[in-house]
Amino acid sequence: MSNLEIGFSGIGVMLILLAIRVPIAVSLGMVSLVGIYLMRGERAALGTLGDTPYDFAATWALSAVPMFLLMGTFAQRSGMATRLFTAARVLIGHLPGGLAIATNFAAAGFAAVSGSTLATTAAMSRLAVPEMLKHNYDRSLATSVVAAAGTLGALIPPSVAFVIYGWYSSQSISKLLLAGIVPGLLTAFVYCVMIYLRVRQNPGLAPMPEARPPWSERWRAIAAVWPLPVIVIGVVLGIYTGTTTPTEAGAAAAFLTLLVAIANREMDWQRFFGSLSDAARTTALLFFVVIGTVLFTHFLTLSGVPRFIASAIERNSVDPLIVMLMICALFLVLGMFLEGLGVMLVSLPILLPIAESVGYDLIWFGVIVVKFVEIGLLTPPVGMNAFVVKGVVGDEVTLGQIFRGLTWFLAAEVVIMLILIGFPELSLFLPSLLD
Amino acid sequence: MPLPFGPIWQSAFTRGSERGSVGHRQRWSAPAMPMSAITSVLTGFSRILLGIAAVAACLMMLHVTADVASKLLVRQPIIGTLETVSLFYMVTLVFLPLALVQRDRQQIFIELFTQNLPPRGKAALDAFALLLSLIFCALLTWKGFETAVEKTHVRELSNNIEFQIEVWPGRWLPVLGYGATCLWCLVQLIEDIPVILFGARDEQP
Repeated sequence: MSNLEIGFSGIGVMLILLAIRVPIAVSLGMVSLVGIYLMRGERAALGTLGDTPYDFAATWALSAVPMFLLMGTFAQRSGMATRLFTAARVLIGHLPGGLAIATNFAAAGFAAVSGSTLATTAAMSRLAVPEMLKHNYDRSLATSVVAAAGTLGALIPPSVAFVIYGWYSSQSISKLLLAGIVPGLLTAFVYCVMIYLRVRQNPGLAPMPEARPPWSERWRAIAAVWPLPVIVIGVVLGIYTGTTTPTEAGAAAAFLTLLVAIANREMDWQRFFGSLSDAARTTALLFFVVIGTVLFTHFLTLSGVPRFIASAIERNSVDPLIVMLMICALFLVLGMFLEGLGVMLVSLPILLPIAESVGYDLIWFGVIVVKFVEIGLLTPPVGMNAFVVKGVVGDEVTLGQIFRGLTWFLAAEVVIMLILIGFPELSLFLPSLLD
Repeated sequence: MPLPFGPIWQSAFTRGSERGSVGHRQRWSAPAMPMSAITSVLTGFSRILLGIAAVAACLMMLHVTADVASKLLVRQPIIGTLETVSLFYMVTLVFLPLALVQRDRQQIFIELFTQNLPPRGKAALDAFALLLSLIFCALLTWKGFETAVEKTHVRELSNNIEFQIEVWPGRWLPVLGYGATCLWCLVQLIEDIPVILFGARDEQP
């Protein structure tokens, strides 16, 4: 077999292993070791195995990951989701579809702080869905807004996805984190407009707006949440002004989140240690997959597969837009059975060389990849977020109703993706200020 | 998890693991006693490893925050922050919790295509996955061990001339983490064998 054949067979075997319950990290790692062994012999296969894991673990760039995760676990284990939802509700609950819009913003805020789409969706399903159902909201709308809004967190800093993408693609992590802000806000905005217009057109979807609460109540709600947006804005400013690296911003933000939780009397020793070990576990879990990706990249590069695909695209002078459509299709398929960062870590070894050869801006491409990964959480048959909502809400709503509601959000995503792909400046303007 | 070994491990095992936590207990329990001793020792050891990593996460947060504060307030960074973070805290966080992740079967995998298989079929595939995981982690342990011995021998130092410390102890952390993970794969492989052979209890007549 030629190296190229070994490379393509490797991709096939890897996919089969993934389908039969082999962990992602092990599928990627074992296929790579066997593949490199077949091409270059034992020395090449095992030679770097002693150093590789240690070398990438001991990198400053990736050290932002555990700090972002820690901030998230502190936020998750204290009552911050409740506070955010209450605040959003008293501020905008009286608008048409106000509870849904409030949920949208509360979820965006909590997802930004907690960094976890699934945790946000679970928390908001518990808090917001019962309230909306109590106000006779349409079931599809009430559940789908929760599922969709959870995905905003991966774009708004601090975001683990951007740290890992930036490290992998050798792009500036600071720039990537800034690049996600406008697309994140745009997504939240388009969602809100969509909800507002739908409810205006069909008031039956959200029949009972809440009474407008007095200002005293609004101020109280704002007073209970102001530290959270301040921390997120602090992270952004720290990175934007170049005062702090992402790791430093993450560590300080985690520390401040802890202080806020203590000040609110929402942190005890058990929650504290729970948060620390949750963050540690997730770090180990993620990095194990990342090692697999590192080995797989090495294997693919040796086999020449990425170069082969890239030159095929160049030779046939395929339009970059067509390439983008193909990438889009690939992500939608992968997103059907693999979650979040897993999709990214499996696909980047192949996609990144292609993106480079087509001449995409890799910062912009990062935004697109992260968007696609999050959209994958919403698409049937296995949109993970819909299942999370269903798991929390229970028998009151069917999975079909949730997915039916999500079609509106997916339609909104089509608009958002067209805007982001058509106008790369939207993503690239903020990072360009960093130069 | 097929673990009929008493209340402590039962609760510990079912807590983190979603898959197959109920209905997998077998009548065949001959190796229960020695296995339970091994799993309890291994669980204790894995918990200690996670505990160390949790402390590292906390220290890392405090250390880096102090460094930022010191930079902003007195324009003087804490020397060696970068080295301590990457060569000690990070290495601890990346490798040590892995054993407990494996114990709770929390590695990321795809369930979709196999979710309708009977428990025996799932267990057979899981055994295959465990075997691959075992081989992968064993290779990582073995090669990591060779590197660790070599770096210990030469007393590896950090590259920063202003902050030169011995960093070779960090080389042993992958060996510890992957080694313990290997042992868990082995234990889980042995535990899955009766499920493959006899199926889950609720399948039996």
